[in-house]
Amino acid sequence: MKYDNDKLRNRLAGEYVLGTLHGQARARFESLMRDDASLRRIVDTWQQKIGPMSEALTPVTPPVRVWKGIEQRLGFNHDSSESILTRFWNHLTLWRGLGLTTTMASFALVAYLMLISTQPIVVNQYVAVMTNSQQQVSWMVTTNSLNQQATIKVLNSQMLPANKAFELWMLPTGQSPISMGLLSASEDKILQISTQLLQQLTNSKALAVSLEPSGGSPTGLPTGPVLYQGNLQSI
Amino acid sequence: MQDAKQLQTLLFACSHRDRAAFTRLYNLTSANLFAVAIRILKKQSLAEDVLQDAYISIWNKASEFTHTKGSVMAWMSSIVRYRAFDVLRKQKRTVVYEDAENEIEHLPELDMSLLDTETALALRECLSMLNKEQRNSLMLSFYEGLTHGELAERLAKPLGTIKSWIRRSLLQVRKCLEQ
Repeated sequence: MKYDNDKLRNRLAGEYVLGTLHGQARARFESLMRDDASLRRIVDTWQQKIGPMSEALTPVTPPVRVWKGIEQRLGFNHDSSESILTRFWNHLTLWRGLGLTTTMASFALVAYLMLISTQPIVVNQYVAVMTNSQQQVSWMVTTNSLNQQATIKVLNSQMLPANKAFELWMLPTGQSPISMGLLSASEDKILQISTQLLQQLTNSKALAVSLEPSGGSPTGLPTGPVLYQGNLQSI
Repeated sequence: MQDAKQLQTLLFACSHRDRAAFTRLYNLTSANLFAVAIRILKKQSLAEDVLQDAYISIWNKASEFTHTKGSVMAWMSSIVRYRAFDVLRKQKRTVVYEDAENEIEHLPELDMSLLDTETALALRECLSMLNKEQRNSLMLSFYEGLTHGELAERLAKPLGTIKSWIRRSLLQVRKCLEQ
């Protein structure tokens, strides 16, 4: 079969997305797509057009074992059990500072493990991807109420004018913006967030970044232009 | 349907290896995608395997998603559907022993009123313009992965008729959506 005919390429791409193309024909079409960017674009267009048909099925919740299997295959399980212990040792360091003996510490370990096994830990986490007015991404901000931190990942380095700083703000509904700290234009950063600020975060729908004098806004409110914004999503 | 922007942000966070975002994405979308897998495969264990494989792919390929591939939901559904088609073919090639317990009694239902987002509404409108037989054949292949030959058998029509129905209805839907 000749695959250089536009009509044929279009028809096969449509049938690939629809599902009538099967078996060897499907495999052959997939191998052609790998080396043919324009064919992939035709498939993408069909996908855009008829893909939403899959939304017309009534949802069926899968059994929990499916997610357990995914976690296991991606190695998520192993790490989460480590993090419980890590959390304990972090707490232990604190207790040591208070002069606890080893025996008391081991009692504390049992108590702690009992506590975490009976009470689910409520963790509020949010993510926001900051974009400028041209929809170019700059930073990704994730917040975690457990360690009271906001982790800022630089997705694309930004140009920062001399004697200026980027300041991150949360925008609580019906209130003035609250500063979360300064961002680096090119390096990842972790900001500590107080319990009070974390509470305000649950009342915020978005974050913003403004351009301020170096050292940050002198007034406690944004003074320069807001250059980046991102909606907060609960995760 | 889920908020498209929310899914985009979550998928973006997944491409930066954010596990919490992936968990949330799974919680928001797995029931829709499981319905897609069940409808094609009609067997519980096969559908579960396909769903699992699909989410592993989604995690691994999150950075490959672009707007040119349609919505996040449509992109994720395509990963499930294509994987399910592969499994379906392999099943049909091998001798399948009867496994009544594994058969699903109630398949997820088709409810066109669920197509309520802006792009989906336009699609619903365009699908409704096809004649009943054409629409039926298009849907059977989309939701159940039937080939031309299988459609001919199911609808008791000559193969040539089915091929031209599919060809014409695809073009008609596309033309309608581009207007």
